Amino acid sequence: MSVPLALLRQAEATKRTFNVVLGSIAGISLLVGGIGIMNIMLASVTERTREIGIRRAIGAKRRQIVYQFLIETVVLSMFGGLIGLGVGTLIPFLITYFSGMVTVVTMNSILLPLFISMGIGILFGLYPAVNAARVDPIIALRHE
Amino acid sequence: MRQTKIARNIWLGIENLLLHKLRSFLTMLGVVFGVGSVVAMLSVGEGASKEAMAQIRKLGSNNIIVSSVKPVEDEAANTQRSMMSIFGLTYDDYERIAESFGTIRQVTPVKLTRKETRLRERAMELRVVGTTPEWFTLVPRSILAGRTIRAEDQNKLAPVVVLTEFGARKILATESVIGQTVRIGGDEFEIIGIVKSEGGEAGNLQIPDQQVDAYVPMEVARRYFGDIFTKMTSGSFQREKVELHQIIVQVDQAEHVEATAAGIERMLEQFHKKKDYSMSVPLALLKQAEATKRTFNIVLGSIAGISLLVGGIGIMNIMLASVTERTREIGIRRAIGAKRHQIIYQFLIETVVLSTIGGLIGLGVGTLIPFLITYFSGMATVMTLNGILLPLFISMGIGILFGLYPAMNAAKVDPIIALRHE
Repeated sequence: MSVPLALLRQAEATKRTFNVVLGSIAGISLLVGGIGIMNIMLASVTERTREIGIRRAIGAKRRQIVYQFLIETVVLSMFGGLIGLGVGTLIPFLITYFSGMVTVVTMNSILLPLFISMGIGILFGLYPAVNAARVDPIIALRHE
Repeated sequence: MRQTKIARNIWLGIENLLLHKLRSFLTMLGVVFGVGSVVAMLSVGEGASKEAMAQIRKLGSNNIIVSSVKPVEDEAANTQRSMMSIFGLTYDDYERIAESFGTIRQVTPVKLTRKETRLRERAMELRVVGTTPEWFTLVPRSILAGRTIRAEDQNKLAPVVVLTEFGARKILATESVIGQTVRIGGDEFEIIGIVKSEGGEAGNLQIPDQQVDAYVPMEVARRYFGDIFTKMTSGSFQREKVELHQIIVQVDQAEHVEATAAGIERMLEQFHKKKDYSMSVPLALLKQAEATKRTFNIVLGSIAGISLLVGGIGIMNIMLASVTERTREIGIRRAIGAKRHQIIYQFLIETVVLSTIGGLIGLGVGTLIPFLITYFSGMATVMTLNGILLPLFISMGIGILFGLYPAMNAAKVDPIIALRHE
């Protein structure tokens, strides 16, 4: 006995597992990229200690420093996300063209990575930004 | 002397990395994730394909299965009620195949019917297969009780029946029924054994015993059940005359399977006007499964490889920042006599140390994940030596590849300007 509905359900379950596996592996790249952003922002904060000191000295509040660095990170990750979206929508076309495999770009699969890239900017930018704001202006000004 | 120099350089690299613990850790994390996911994915892919191939092997990779198929034209012609459609493999086909090929080890005919079967008060429709003793050597299976069909049953036309585990369950038969009588159709058969039904499916081929409830000797099935079957479909009767439903050919060597299959196909084409048979070759499926596996592994590996690439870019980025930060250090080194290639060496070793350590940790993580997957989801995972060594070398290679540019940048620094650098 074969019940088409049961087969369909099974196919859907398989598909879900497949999507989860593929998505999570691809997600690891996003995570690695996010860590990379955090790392370079930390280095950037260290490099720009003097700039932060001057900003603080002429009246910038801690909050504004956090804001500045956070926006920088988010802009960076958003741009990366947009370019990635372009590349990512191009690849399925190439796959369909060359291998004949059917690929479907859904609205969800466009919006999700875009929001994730924004989220990554906020998440991984927060620590460097807070670090930047914690700098003591007096020590920062003396920083060579 | 040279060796101690390398060791000193590596040590210097590690010391430099320890100066920025957080930064080094974060940089390494990229490689850890990259290598970890590559190792894990390769083992998952390897495991999945191994499972599929084991299933196909169960069908017997040396077998060729020829099945009767109702031709398409007949289906339409059958709207007239009393028409009887005659199609499928014949006893002659069986004889011909058995005689004509030197590469064949054995040929097993299969005749399939559905018969109302009664054991004591319990009655069920069972799928009954008429076959020869060879059937039981086609695919490895274990006997739960009694024995299987023997050549003398065939010769004596003994009305004996072997139940599969499935069939036994349907009519509530246990080991104690061996030797008892069961009614199949209108005739009495002696139960001589119960065989275990191996579970599982392989592609569109099912493991033979899963589709069968009972076995009787071929000649007995022919005499008792005949060749004409009546089917009830949506109120109208359909009569079909099919002599054999399947012929399973076992070839002596795997290398001969394809040639033999082609030969059988040609022979059948000569004697059958319509295409009323189909052939399936588990070996072809196996080859196809292997090809699918390769694609699957490449896809999984390359997606995981993207993390490695991203990690490598992260390393390069942080090393570039590090070179800018340490311009003064580079200037001093150059001023007191370090050559350009020594500067390259210094930064390159730093990068390689970073990525290799990351690769080793990633290897640890990556070998742990398949164990967890197997433990929690029961999916088979297989670690191969290749799956371990490849990511390790790749991580080292990434260190060299992505370390080269920052190291060259460092060496290009003019010592005079570098010394002036605040």
